Amino acid sequence: MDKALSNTQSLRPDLAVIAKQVPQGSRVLDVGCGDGILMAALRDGRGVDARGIEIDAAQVERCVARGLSVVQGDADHDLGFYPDHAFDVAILSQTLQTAARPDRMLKELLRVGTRAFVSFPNFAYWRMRWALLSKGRMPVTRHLPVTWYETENIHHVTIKDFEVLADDLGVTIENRWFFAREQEIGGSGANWRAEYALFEVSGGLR
Amino acid sequence: MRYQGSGFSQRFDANSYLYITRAMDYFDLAEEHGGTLAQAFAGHGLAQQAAGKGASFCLVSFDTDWLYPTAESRHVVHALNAVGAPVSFVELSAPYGHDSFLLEVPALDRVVKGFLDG
Repeated sequence: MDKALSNTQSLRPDLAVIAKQVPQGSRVLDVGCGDGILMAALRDGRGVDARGIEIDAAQVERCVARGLSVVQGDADHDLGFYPDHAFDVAILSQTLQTAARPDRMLKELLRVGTRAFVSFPNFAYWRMRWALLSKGRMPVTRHLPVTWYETENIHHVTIKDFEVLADDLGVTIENRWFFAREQEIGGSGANWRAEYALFEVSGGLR
Repeated sequence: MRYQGSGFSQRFDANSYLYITRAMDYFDLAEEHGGTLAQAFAGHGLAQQAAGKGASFCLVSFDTDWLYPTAESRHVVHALNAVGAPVSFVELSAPYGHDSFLLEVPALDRVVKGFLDG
């Protein structure tokens, strides 16, 4: 098995999909890149010129130790310093719900990148709905294990909400993938069935 | 600081320090490039990197350094981002102020080693 494939197998399912979709040799910005596992897979497997932004210093340290170009900073503020269309692809994985203004974040992604991959936890997943309905408390799940007062997730978004936001901003949804229990699932009833979602979006900002 | 000061006053003419600090204060890289720091780095942009000719950058600041505060490093990082240069930046925590870079800070070793190996 070649290196690219063996790398993508250890990635979280949404990242594995992104790793397969990003074109060979493209310029990529990974916003909220964590420890750089996706960037490293893209660099090693697809010859991608990858750059990252990450807010946590310890994570940035791990990225730099992997030989990646990663800047410690707050994406809400620092995306503004990148020129228009500097990247072919911008990636925002599991970070949209932590943005101060997710709508502005999405616009910024499509200003610096020609297209963007955005993944986020679906707060309309049936287990969340059930927990809120039956217990009357903000859900704590396997995928989102943190209580409401500790969580970085300040904007609770659902799959439907994201689709409406894309439409409001004039953003084109190119592709969508849904996941539950770390597996990709089909699209029917996704707003109930999916724990998290991945969207590929492109320009058309108005 | 007091120890260094008394040592330096024996070895240097005080006026030389006035000249050096003034030269440092008046130095403004941005001013030499139309008032925009990014212009100074324009030769290290995406195109150069794609052609395999550009340099990579790694900036490290320390949270206790008053001489080169994190905000100033970020200013340089943002200018490098603006020209598409490959840049890494991290603010490390260390108790030794500006001299942190001279002392044992394991995180700095890891960052520098990773950057040079990459």
